[in-house]
Amino acid sequence: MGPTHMVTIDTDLLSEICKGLSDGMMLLLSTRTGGIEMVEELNPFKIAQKQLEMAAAKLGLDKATTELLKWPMKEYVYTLPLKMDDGSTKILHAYRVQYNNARGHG
Amino acid sequence: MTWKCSVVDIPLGGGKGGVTVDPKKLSIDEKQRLARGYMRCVASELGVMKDVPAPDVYTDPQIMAWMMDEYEVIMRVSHPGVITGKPIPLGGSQGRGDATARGGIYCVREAAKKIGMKTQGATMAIQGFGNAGQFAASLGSEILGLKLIAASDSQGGVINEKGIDPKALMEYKKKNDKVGGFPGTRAISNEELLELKVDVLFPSALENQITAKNAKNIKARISCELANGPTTPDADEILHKNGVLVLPDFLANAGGVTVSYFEQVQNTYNYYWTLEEVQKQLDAKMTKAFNDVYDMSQKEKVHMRMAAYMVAVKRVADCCKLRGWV
Repeated sequence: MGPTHMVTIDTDLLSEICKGLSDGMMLLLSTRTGGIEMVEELNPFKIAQKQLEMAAAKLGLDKATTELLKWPMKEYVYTLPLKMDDGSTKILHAYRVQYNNARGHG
Repeated sequence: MTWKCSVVDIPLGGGKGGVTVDPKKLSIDEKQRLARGYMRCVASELGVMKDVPAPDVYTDPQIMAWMMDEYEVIMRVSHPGVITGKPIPLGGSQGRGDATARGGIYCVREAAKKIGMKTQGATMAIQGFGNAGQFAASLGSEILGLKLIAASDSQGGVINEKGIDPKALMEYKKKNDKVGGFPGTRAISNEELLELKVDVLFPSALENQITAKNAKNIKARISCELANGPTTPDADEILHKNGVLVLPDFLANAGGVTVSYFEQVQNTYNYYWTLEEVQKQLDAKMTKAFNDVYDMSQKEKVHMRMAAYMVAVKRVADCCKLRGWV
């Protein structure tokens, strides 16, 4: 870890900047420049959530429905040991997500 | 997957699974142990009326077969429909192999009608000459008469404005594990390929290829997204303004899950369709889905991705409401 710096940000100014951001952009507090950088949001799940919110707003969906559709309804996480050909064991992580079963099973 | 199943209107909720591992470093025996181990983890959450996995990145028909077999060993009953993407002798469907690309090609055909583009002799470029990309090249040529002028993979691309034979390039790629150096072509970078003046662009490689940085340089008339997430939201706005018709990923590549659904239907019936029947049913689903999305984009004056979200989200939201959840 390199040295950390306290950065003080004017919250009014920050909210003004945020208002001016397009939907796909996010703010990054940069330790490199000690300031704020604007970068494109590239996390696919966050992009999908944002796009869902925009579609929901256009469709006039209520808040609860929008929130429900923003998240997977069920998530399973497993730790899975795998025996390798050389006799060693690898410990892996496995997942299964059932996002929404309103229209049918996963 | 939830939006994808909804936009093509198949009665599935949508799920996904995976293991954090580099399969390229596993031997065939290790892969089999992993597939069976994964099934032992998830078996109790799966079932033909509960949750049915389909193939995705690195899960080929053999891996799906091992998982199906392990499920049947655990449950002590025949249940081929618990897994799709199986080899045909074990209950796999005809036409599953090229389904993703074929669905995309049907969408391009419908999109071309809307913008008054003649596909015969129109040009295409493929970023990502992998499974979906290769089938898009050959089916685009066979079904629509598109002319392949450029293709790329992770090591770079090739171009020949006079046309490249998709089948010959597929053979070359199989032998050399890359498209680079294909006789009669010049080298081109992945970035240059995206910005070519072609009629149809197939982003079929990775996420975030068309961003706010390069979107203004995209000259294609149609961008058919066989990959997941190749275009960022900011790039979407720019493409829309510039009149590029984007066929968004969860519409354009929904052919795969559609034929997986057909596979499950056939397993349940225990009666199997001909290849022609599968392709006819797929065509009907994709054509309807494209038109639903296109009509929404016209009605609401939004770009195609937003329209696809609106069509898909509305159907899921309606079902949530009918169930009394919200």
